[in-house]
Amino acid sequence: MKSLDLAIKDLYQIFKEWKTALIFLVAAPILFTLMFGFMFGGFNGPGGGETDDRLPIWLVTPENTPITDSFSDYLDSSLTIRLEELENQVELPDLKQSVADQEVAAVLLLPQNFSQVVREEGRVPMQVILDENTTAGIAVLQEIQSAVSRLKMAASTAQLAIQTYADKDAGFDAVTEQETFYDLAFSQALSAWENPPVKAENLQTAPEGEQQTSEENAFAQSLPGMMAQFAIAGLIGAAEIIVQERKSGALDRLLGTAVSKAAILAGHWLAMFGMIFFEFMVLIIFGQLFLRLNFLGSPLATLMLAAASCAFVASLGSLVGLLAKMPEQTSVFALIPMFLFAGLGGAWVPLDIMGEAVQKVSRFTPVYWIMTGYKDILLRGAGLNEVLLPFLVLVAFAVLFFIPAAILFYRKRT
Amino acid sequence: MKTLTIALKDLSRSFRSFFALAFMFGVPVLTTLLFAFLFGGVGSGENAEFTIPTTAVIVVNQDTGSPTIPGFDLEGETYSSLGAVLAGTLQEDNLSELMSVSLHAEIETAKAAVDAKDAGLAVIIPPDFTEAATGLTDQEAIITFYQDPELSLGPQIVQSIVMSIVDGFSSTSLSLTAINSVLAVNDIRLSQEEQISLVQDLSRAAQSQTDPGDSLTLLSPASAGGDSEESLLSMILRSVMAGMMIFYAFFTGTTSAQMILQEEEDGTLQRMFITPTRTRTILNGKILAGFLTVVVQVTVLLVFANLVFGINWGPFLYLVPFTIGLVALSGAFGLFIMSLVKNTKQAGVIYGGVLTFSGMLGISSVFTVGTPAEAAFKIIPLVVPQGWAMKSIEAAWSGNLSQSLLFAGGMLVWAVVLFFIGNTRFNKRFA
Repeated sequence: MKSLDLAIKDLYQIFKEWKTALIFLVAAPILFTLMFGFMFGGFNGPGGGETDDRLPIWLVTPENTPITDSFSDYLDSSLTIRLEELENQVELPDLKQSVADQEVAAVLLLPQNFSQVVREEGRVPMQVILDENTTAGIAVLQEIQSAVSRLKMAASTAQLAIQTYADKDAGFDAVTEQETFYDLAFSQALSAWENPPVKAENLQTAPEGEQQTSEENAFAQSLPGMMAQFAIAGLIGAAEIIVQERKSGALDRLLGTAVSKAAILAGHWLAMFGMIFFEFMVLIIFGQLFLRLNFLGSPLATLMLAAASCAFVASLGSLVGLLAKMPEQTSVFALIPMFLFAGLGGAWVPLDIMGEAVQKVSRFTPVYWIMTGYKDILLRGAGLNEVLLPFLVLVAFAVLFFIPAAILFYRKRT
Repeated sequence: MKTLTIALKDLSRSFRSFFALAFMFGVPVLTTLLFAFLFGGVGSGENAEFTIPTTAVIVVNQDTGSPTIPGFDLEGETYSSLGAVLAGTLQEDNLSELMSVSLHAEIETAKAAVDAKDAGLAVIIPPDFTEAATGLTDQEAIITFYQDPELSLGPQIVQSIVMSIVDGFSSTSLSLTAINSVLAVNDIRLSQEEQISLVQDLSRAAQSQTDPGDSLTLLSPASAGGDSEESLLSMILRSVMAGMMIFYAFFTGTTSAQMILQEEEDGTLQRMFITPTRTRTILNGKILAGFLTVVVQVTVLLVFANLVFGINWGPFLYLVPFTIGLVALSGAFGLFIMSLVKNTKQAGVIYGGVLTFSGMLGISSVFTVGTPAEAAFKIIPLVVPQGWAMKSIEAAWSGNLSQSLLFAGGMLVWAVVLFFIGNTRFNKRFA
């Protein structure tokens, strides 16, 4: 009961500055959730919507022939890239600069006599300026490589069409007639890819009876990530209360009363648990109402995971508060685990686009288990049994951080 | 002279504190070291590079083949259907770094394995695959890619490989249709023998055209000093180091300015005010100490990152405007923030709230680098001062002098405004 009184006192201290608390516990995580969610396709962000968010490229061609026109039409029908008009003649260094500045994802340069080389040699020589080290660059390169293969096949097809035509003793009267025939066959062969005989269908694991889209995936990644990150960052203010209590002598006075050390530590722990639990609940409700994230599909699992996550953060906060000698040190002691756990645990960027080493190390961070548990609930419809492992690991982390905190608290006086 | 003496006293106090040193240098360097280690850049040799994780793929081949084409010979092996050829190709050694393939007979077990996270992707080849790919039926076939929703890059790459192989299968029938179509315009119809001969020619052409490498020449976009050979790892480290340097430079600027409040609470400031030294001189000394501390921090971190991590910050001259801007801005920001708070107790909220929030937002481009959102995050970070610093250093290492100057100019405008407000408030407070 005394622990509860102390917890209420701590909470009063935290929420006395209610504007700051609300900004940091509610507004900031929501803003970052939307920002990171948008990054990965939420709310019709990049890659996630029905608007034309294909990657823009420029096609620089010194000639306008039926072959270059066919190629241009083919590229523009792509689902990955879109052709943008290049109004004026631009020099190569400026084109490279435009790609470096991300004005366009790539620039495709056709050489002089491109059409003649295609017709006579069946080759499709071209240069492409792009950054192979970005996902946009990788995607454009794949699309252009596919286009080059199809162009070469179209050139071979047109050549075989001429040969077949000639074999049927229906030779051409003039070179221009042969070129027209070639161009028609080339164009037909290339445009045939607009309706290929084999197509792809994309499905993914989803809660029973639902079909998820990348939009849900984006916020299912960003919301739990920001919940975890700002829970740790939120410790700065809360842990500072413990430091101030020691520095001001309030702890000594408290120890002179009938309140036990265990009750004091439990009080601080409970306050932090309550503060973070409040943050989790607000964000979960926000996600449920505004981001179409179905936390209530498994309400008990959601609550259990929230409780375990908050227990871990509260234990970490107790340790931070007891390790820091000065109030400003709580910032460093909270920011270091925030960066480490959030970065490695996959709170910022999905782990699958990071290296294998990161994926292995991430399992040793509590944020990984918060992310895993909530993603399982949101993307797979996981219930109590499925989130049992993340729950237990988070409880273990809570114990792991609480033990040194308790030892420090019993040894330290001021 | 007195200003400098006060500044040097504060400076020596800062650099004698283990906590301050850890904050200024230890944390940014350790964070970058951690990323270097994780991405294989430490202890893995000079060619250490970021790699894409292998995707566990399950192939369910339901292709029943075609009675018209009973077998497909490929590299000495005979396959009963194109689906079998596709499954066999995906299991070849040259793709083993990108995917580990296993075969399942049932769709449901394959999907269950993906659901249970035992596999990242299930590729389901339909029964009519051979018939559709060879143009023996007008019906289109659908290959289903069933993936783990948490994965994006791996399944995307596997799908791209699968569809490029399928392209190779389909190209013959599409080309045959195209040829028949143009011949029909000229009232020419081919006999069955002629069609078969044409198919063989097209198949040979298709096999020789799968590699676009000899046609496509890749050019790197402009980069600092024309260094097109920079590895992805060094670019990741550069972004992380720059982000951490900016993030913590603002903390240093604020901590330095906090010393004014600390001395006020300790009573030492009041003692100094009763000496013949003017109040403005004392405050100027303290403000100068803040700027000098950030100068040392930023210079050390830039040089250290270059020497130890081999980070290329771009041409030295391009880096100068950024460095001046960062020093001015972080110092002025600290002064401004501290002029708003009443005592050191309130400073905790500033560290926790304002600096963490604005810092995270300002360096958000570090986390979006290489993602589809990279371009979208050109503007948002500019709402906070840290965003201008990040843009300035990015422009410097990209070799874009005009942008480097533009963003450094923006930083200086921020700095002047914040310094003016902060300085005025402090002078009023201690007048």
